[in-house]
Amino acid sequence: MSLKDRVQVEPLDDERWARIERGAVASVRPREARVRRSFAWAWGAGALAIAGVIGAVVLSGKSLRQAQEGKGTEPIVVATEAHGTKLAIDGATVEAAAETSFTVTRPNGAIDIELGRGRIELDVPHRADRAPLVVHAGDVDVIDVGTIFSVTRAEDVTVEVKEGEVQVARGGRIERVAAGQRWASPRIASATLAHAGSGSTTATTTTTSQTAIAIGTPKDQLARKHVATAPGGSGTNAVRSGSPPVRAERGTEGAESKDGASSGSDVIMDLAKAIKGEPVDPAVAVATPDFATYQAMMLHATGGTASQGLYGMARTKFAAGAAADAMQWLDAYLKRFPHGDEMEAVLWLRVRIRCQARIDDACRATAQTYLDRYPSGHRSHIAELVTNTR
Amino acid sequence: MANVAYVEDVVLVDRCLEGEEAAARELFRKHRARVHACLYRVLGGNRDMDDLLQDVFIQIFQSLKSWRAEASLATWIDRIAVRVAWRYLSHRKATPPTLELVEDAVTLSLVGPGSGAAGGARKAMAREGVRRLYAAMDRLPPAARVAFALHEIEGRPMAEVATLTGASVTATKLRVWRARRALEASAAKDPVLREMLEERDA
Repeated sequence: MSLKDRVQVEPLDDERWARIERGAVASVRPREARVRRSFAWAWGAGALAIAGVIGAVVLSGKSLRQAQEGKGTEPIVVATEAHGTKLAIDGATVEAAAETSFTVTRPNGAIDIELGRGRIELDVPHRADRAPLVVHAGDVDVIDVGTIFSVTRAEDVTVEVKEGEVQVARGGRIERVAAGQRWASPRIASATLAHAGSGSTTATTTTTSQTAIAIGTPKDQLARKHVATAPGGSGTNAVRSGSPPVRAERGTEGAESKDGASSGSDVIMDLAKAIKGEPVDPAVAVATPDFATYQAMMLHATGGTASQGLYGMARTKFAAGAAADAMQWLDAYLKRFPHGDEMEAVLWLRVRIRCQARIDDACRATAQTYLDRYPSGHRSHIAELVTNTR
Repeated sequence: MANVAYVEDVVLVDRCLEGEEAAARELFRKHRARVHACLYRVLGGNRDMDDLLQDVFIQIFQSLKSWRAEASLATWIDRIAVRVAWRYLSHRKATPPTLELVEDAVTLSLVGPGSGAAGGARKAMAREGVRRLYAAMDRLPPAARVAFALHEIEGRPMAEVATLTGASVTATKLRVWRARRALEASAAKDPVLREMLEERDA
């Protein structure tokens, strides 16, 4: 018999526990007073890491304002044919070459560009105090805070930097590409290319004009999508609403154009592509965008900054390919910040994670949660289709 | 994959730092039994326990902001509990052990098994053994006592004891060994304690 078994702990009665608890809990004070002491200590100690966190807190305040300014910004869909076009977004210039399609969204003041195909050249003023500009090209994310660079998406993705430096994220790895350097990915999976609307009748590529720029609501887009897929429909819109179509219309090639119905597996496949193609909102920009920094933000800041920190924790896990970890932090966010500013981004990232492997009950449940909370949300049209797949 | 408990801990700490009383109560109730057991096994009883537990949790709440989430919250809390116990042992006035006559206990131990009286006697004997163990531990330096209690009585691995006491593993092993040797010296003159330690070794 071990000594542990021999020394039996004599329990305390409830009254004693209640007294101890009262005394201990009475010492708890809100963080406002604590934060000041914590940072004073950090300065005193000269801890570089904590200085980074302070920077993050300062930055996040500004990005919050930007998020408020950017509220209600709708997706911009651009598709060029024979000639290119130029677009100015929040000080940044995006020059699209011919035969290029991309979608611009503004989640929380950031600029998210989903490049479907072709080549875009970007001139981005320094965004140190703003959320970064991110170009998504298939499974490649190019993160920029102020430089001149181009991204080309064909069978592979090429990033060329003229000035400054960008970060290229792919498969959980992040590489820095500096001025004068060129980065190229291996061939992209056809699934992600399909999202670009390479089919002959996709709205973004079949306009008669050289450039189609459209701004609208996802609901409009959903309605138009149904029109576009109706038998005999042309599937073409010179100006259309919302983000790219959820299902790649097949025109005369697909069964849908013959009998007006597509197979269930096609729908599932297209939905999976649409979900993957929908950008995931970036975390708030900080000096060192890693898990530890966001965790420090969450634990040492208050209110909106803390919730940004928790979303950042989940987002960095997701970017690193640790989807299960990310899911845990997202679930924690739901409990901790039920009215957090990042709620839509959180709920969508849950859909993205749960639905990335297959459209099953768990996936549908996350989509339903998104839909319940944001029936007119940025991605409600996709969530609605997911919930209808049963 | 991140431990579910770890995720919960981070969220709970954040709520505590927000000053949420319900979260503080939740944290207290989640960890109180383990902290109590740790203090009890190091100190050998509930004397001054209310004050000590309160001291531990006040320190926890006041320094929660310094938890870096690198160690588990439980380990971090246990370190505070060990520190409080150590300080208590270092500052308290020496209390002479109040050993009762050894012969009475020996008589009890000679009662054979099989009767209710024998079972009761065994329990009394065990209690007496524990009392003598702690009486012997009272003569140990706090460092050796804490290390011995955490390793031999709490059953924590040596590396964990080293973490909790802020010492190296080598120093911790040395402390435990010294404590054991001192207790064996006491047991040589005390058959009840000897029997208890022999049972452990067996």
